[in-house]
Amino acid sequence: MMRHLPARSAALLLLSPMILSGCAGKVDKVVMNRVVERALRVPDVDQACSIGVAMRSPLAGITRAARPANQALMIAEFTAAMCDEAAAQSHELEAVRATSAAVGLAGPQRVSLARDARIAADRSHGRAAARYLRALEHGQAEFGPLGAEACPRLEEWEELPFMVMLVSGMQVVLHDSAAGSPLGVPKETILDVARSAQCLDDADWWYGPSAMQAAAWATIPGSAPAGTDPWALLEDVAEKSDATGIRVARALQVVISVNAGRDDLAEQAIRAHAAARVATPPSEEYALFDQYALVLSRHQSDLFWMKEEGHRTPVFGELPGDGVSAPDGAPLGADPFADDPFAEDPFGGELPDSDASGGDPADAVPPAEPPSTDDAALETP
Amino acid sequence: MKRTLNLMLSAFAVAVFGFAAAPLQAHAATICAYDPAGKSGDFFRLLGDYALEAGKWGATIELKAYTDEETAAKDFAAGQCDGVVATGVRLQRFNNFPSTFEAVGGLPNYAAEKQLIQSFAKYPSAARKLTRGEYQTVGFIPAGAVYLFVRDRTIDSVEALAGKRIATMDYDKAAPFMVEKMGAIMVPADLGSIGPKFNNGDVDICYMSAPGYGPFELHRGLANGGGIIKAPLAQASFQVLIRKDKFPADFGAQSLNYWSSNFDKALAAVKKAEAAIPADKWIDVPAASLSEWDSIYQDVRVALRDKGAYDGSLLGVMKKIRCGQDRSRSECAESRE
Repeated sequence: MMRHLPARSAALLLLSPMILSGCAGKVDKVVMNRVVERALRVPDVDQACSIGVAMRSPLAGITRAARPANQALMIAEFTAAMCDEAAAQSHELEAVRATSAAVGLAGPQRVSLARDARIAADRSHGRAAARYLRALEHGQAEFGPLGAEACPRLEEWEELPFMVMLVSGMQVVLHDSAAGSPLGVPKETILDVARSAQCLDDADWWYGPSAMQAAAWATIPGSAPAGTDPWALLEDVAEKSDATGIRVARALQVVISVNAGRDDLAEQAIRAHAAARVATPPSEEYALFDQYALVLSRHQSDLFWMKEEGHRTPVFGELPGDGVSAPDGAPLGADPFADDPFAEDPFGGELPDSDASGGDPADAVPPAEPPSTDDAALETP
Repeated sequence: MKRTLNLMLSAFAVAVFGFAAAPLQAHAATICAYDPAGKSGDFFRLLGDYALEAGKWGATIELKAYTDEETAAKDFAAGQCDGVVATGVRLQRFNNFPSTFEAVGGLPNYAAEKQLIQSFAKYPSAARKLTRGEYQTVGFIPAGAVYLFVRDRTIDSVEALAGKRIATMDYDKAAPFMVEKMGAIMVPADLGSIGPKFNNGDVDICYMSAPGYGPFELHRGLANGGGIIKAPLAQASFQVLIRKDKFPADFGAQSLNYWSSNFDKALAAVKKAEAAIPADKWIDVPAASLSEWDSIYQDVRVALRDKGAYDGSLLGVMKKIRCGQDRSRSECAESRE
């Protein structure tokens, strides 16, 4: 509680000109065009989530309850949910660590630790779901119901909050399900997200809209349009997003693949995500989103590592078992050292300047064996 | 002396800290677990709790999620997992005794279903029948009563089904008999096509349990005067099937007990899904019509028993449960099952 007071004070100061006006439209514009625009340039998910937690109540307080600043409040709830998401990820890792064979806890302890971590994860997922749901509700109050047949008329600056509404719709389903459905959010909400996703230009939004459609269709059997393979579509748009510097589509592919138990696909996607980060630096304009995508993919990677090795991902893009893969190059066949020309030390022999008498006895070179014929062959003429 | 000291220190560590210095875990058994919603599904979540609890029975279980049921069953058959969770009808090939649990009209309500699951855990004779060869069924999880969804709510009696097209799961061996008895037309479908076929009007009828109503958006197919006939066709279930030599000796008994004790918890998700369906979508069936449905169901069960698809002994137990609930049922005076 006390931790957030300075941030809240700062938020109040920042918003003080608008307090006098109390105009929801102005608040929305300032938040979207100034606060969000600048926050997006900072690749710091923790900072964004703290801002969301701190800003939500001041934002709600400066406008009338009957006419809230929906876009601004949606952003605040959305970013606040990221805090809970991070906590849930941490608890999920604790649960996997407790049961990891690499950690090797005995029965009763592993069960109690894992259960406790799962309960803690449920609570965090539940809180994340509640915040994403409030974000979604603010979004729908602004743009109309998710999944509506007609797209709302969007100003250019409203496309970002619309996109945030779609992601909120996706996230609320995932987190509510992960928490045991305390909110009872219908799973088919993601199909409404898929319908509304067509209201945005795919390339303008780093192929996120298509990725959300593909993710929804891959999750609910039979929901894809006839002739569409959602998994192939997901790979296609993830590949396109790699070069944009905002790898949200790639991260979604990782998350959805793991959810469906397709770990092989998820591993490929994690490697591709890591390779894309090397090939294309994060977008400056949307650095926060690219970082968020990294956090999502890396968490799934962490879960793989924790299960197999008992720790988090040492280097993003590497996966457990990579170190024991077959060596590069052509197979060397049966023991290539069987006929070892170095079987007897070719460097044997007394060093010309050995100083056994005056130096440190530990450094003394042991007496050399008499040179063999092989040694003779190694001698330079 | 040094060895004695090490042993003493290890014993001290176990006694004081409750864990051994070195990993003591047995080989982990893998269970291929089907949930249409994958890891985020309600059933997979229940299985997560189960896997943890199994640690207390000396079993280390790793769950592998599948969103395709047939792949899960095939991977199990191929030895890629030591256990599988799938619907009873899908696991019929391994043992027809547990798959008879889903017999048409066998369990008319959740109380009957609960009683049967409790009896599996209670009677050793049931446990024996749940084992066939190397396979053992060690858990029954309620997946919900299966109802008929009709695009036209005037189709509310057995007679009205004549000539209507029914989307039928192509792996469901009972379906052809059922459809033939109704005088309807079978249209093969699978989980991926049943929703679109019903919603687009390619079929007049489909069958599904309530948890499928939302995700498959069946409200679209019901939009123009359709409804759901409130007379359970069968009880869908997820069943846990294992290779028994991969698990501790008493795992089966512990597991059956676990699912018997957790029936209400497992059913909660189903009840929530049923409650989420708008009340005006349900079509109540008059008592007189119910007996007509029961008669059809019984004919199908007997026919499938005679063909070897259903297990006669389990049909007999289910009849006892039905008649225990209601002695006035006409079948109670007969001895067909």
